[in-house]
Amino acid sequence: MILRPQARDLRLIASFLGKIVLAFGMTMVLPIGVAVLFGERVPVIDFTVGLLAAVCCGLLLMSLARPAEKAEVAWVHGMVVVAAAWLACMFLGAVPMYLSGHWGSYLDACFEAMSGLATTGLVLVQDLDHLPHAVNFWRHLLMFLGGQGVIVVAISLLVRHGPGAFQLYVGEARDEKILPNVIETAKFIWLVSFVYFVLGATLLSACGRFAVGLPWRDAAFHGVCLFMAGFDTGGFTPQSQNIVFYQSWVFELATVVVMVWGAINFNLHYAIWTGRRAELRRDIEVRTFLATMTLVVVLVALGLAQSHAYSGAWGFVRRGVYQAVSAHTGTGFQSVYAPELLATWGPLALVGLLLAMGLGASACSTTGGIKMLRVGIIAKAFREDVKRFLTSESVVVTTRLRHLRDVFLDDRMVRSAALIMLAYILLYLAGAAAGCLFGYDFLSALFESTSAAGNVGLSCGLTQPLMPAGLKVVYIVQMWFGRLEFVSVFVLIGFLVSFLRGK
Amino acid sequence: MKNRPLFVIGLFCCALAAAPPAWSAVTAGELVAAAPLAAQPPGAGGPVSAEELIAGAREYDGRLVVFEGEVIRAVLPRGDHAWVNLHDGTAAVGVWVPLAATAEVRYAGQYKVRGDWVRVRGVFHRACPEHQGALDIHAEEFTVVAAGGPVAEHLGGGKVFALAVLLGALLCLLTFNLLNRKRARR
Repeated sequence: MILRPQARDLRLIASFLGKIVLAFGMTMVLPIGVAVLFGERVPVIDFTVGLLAAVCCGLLLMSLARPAEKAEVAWVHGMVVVAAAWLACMFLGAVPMYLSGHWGSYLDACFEAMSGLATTGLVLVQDLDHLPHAVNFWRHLLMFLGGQGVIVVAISLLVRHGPGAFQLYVGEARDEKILPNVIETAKFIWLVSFVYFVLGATLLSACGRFAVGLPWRDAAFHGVCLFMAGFDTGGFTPQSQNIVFYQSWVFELATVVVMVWGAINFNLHYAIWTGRRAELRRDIEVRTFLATMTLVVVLVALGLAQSHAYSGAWGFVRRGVYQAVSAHTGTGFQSVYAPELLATWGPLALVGLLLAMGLGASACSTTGGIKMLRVGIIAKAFREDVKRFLTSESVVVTTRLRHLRDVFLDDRMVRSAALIMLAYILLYLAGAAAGCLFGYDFLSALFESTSAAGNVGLSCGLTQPLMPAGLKVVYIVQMWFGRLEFVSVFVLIGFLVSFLRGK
Repeated sequence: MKNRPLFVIGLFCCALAAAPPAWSAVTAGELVAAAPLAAQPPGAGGPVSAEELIAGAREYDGRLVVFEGEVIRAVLPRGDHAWVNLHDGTAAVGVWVPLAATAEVRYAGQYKVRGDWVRVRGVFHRACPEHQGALDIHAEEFTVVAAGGPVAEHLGGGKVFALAVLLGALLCLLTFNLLNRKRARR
């Protein structure tokens, strides 16, 4: 029997949602600082409007809760709060972007905000090369906040000691705690991110100055932005030409380092930090990633050879391998122009990229897609089944896998991995069907759909301001589902349905 | 050496991509033959747009083209040459040009700055062999046809109004919350 939610449930959800929205709004102080630094007056007003809108919404929601009321936070509350919070952050994050006048409609700004928060990287911005620094910084900051997790931000800033932090944390598609306590886990995620931020931004800024030839101020700005987009496997870039703008293999190499580092499980980062570096070699995710990356590179190589896209090995490495790494880590940086993929790459190379985008990288990282842990588990399950047929019936076949510790493969694990994998495949296909419905050919529709649902951001040119509004909404929903890995969004839908059908 | 298989696969892929196999429908020789060098781009003698160049890269490959666009962000020096990214309103393309020719460039486009408008005549490459497969133009002539300059910021009245309304709403909410808390304490 489905229970109809009560007023108490709504007040509890509103209270948490209010805190998250408030914490999110407070982050708009950072782009205001950037605007002041670059002497941009109008963006200061735009972001103040955005900040005030978020603070007002947050306070309004919090005022709905009764201060004296003590309620127990159930899983359903956590899940509903997370799914709703991501939508609320999208709507509020889009406000200063829309006010800048660089997006054709509020829907376009919402698309870009969700693309940033979900670390996807598909863009609808117009005249990006003349965008204010503050707004450009905000686009990349959205990736940093979304990558670490909007909830992790809120837990760190406002939802500190109250109950419900764990439910919120899990709702954001993070089922692995790094440390026993969620607050400590959130702190660790920020510590790791800030240390890498300093190192990565310095590396990219230095490359921007010395290898690309940008002036120091631009090099530092691009370094900071690209680190946030690269480490959080997002894929936004400050210039319209994406990575092509920099025209430097040294810079591309630096972004590869950042992308791969960001695609690693935070638990593995913790293992590396605590001196257990051998885990990098033994972990099932890293091994699966290497195997699938090899497969993707071979497919891309065959495809590029078939279509005669590049005449030299260096061309293949700088364009082909770079795109493969970008797709597999779920980043979406492009060292080729989007229309080139369809026009000159050939279908086989695109299939390689599709495979990479669909599979994704590590669980408990900022990447999207099916994820290597699930792919590894399903591959091991297949192997176990084949082994069972080949051995005597009296033999008990067991499979062990290494993910932070030794684990024996069981049916529940395989079922859970297979279900999520199936859900992702259906999501990719649903988006492709929507693309076909709007008149695009199947391959480009599937490519863009997989990119959106897998939170990758590579584009073959379909995503642009003039595409149908319906398709923009489809991609927003796909990015939302993909980032939260279905469960919390389905719980939110179920929660809304229970208003009508519950007793 | 534990990583030998991966190393071998890497070498194999490089070789494969660099030397197109014979099973493919179109051979490299046919492609070269299909794109003879021409004095004029397919779209007559006027400037060709970046969008056309990118979408029709195979047709324009190796041809002499005329392209116009705004200098974006900065001139990126590389020894005695430089990269200049030009945006013509449809997309941006990288232009490889002798460094001395860029001396005329004073403004590069960014927020509050309109970059110099430049006209380039040069050879278009779909996958430049000199720049590891980059889509670029090697300029033979590089002329600034219109100077850029600073652009003033414009603050619309609507934004100030929205700011005032939100400030009022915030004050009301803060007062309401304060009263609510006092009542709850009592």
